[in-house]
Amino acid sequence: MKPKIEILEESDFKIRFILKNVSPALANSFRRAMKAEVPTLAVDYVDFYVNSSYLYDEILAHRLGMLPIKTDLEKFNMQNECVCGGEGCPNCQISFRLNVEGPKVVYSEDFISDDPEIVFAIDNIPVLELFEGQQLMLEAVARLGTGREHAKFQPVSVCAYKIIPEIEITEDCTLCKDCIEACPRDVLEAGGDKIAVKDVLNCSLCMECIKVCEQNAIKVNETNNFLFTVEATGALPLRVVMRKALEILRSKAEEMNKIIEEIQ
Amino acid sequence: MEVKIVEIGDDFVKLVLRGEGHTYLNLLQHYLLEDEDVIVARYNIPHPLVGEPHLYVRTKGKNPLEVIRRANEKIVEACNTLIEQI
Repeated sequence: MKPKIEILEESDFKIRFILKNVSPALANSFRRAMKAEVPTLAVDYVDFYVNSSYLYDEILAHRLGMLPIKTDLEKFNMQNECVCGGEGCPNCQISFRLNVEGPKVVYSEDFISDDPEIVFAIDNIPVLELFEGQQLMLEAVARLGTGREHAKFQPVSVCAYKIIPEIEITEDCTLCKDCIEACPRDVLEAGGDKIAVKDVLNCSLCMECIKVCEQNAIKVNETNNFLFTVEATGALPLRVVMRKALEILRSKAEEMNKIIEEIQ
Repeated sequence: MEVKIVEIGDDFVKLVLRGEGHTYLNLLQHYLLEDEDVIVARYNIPHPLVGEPHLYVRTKGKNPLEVIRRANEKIVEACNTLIEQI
């Protein structure tokens, strides 16, 4: 059977979809690729010219690294693959400038980017509070990286899957309703002359219903369907993350085939 | 990715794949084991920070590199069918 993606709900920051007819290995590789292999921009180097705020340079640099940046993967190269050889050039990095004086709360929208399209994904993230007489002048340099290197480069926050089971109720069911009460996820309901499945997507495979059933009338089988929940940070649209993750998996296989052909 | 052959014979191969991890190797191992010509397909990451996994494949007499190539083609095919649907 062919692998299939069925999208259940989709918004800017969250997507839920069913990955059908795939092996657990492919589902897990897909999840890992989305988390750790898809590149995004994040602040990685900060030059402080003036910092008379209450926070140390290191703390501010760390806070700036955590801010998600709207990424255009067509515009940037990974630094180690760039024409500049990793030194840093407009093709692989972008800087954000800031020069503010207190009293003021500095938000992510206050930074001035080199490229008006590459900005922080969310406008109203507070970075720090400046009080009377305090000043902050800095240049933050962002570059592409992957989640494998540092979690700040992850394009997704939540990225998880679970198996969608197949709940089978045999003829032995006496409709005692013990399983309905035992189920913490409200999966089962009474229907007709035996128990029916109401919401199979909600099932967490806790097997609580099997433990209570005295007739052994319930069977919960694992299938090759997976329910994915993915939440974005705003750095990349979710569909781009999914497509890019699969393209990366594909390119790994293609790259290995090329190497094997060269060896033979 | 950097591939080094540590040992090779008529029906087995031992490789080192520098720079890869569970993401790719677990997938490759799964598709290798699906193949009927494969007896053993196993990978091991000796140290989690170094990133030099070893891959060992033993077949029933077929060229092991050919079997790996076939598994990779299956991965490409599965990815292609999924990419089309996004």
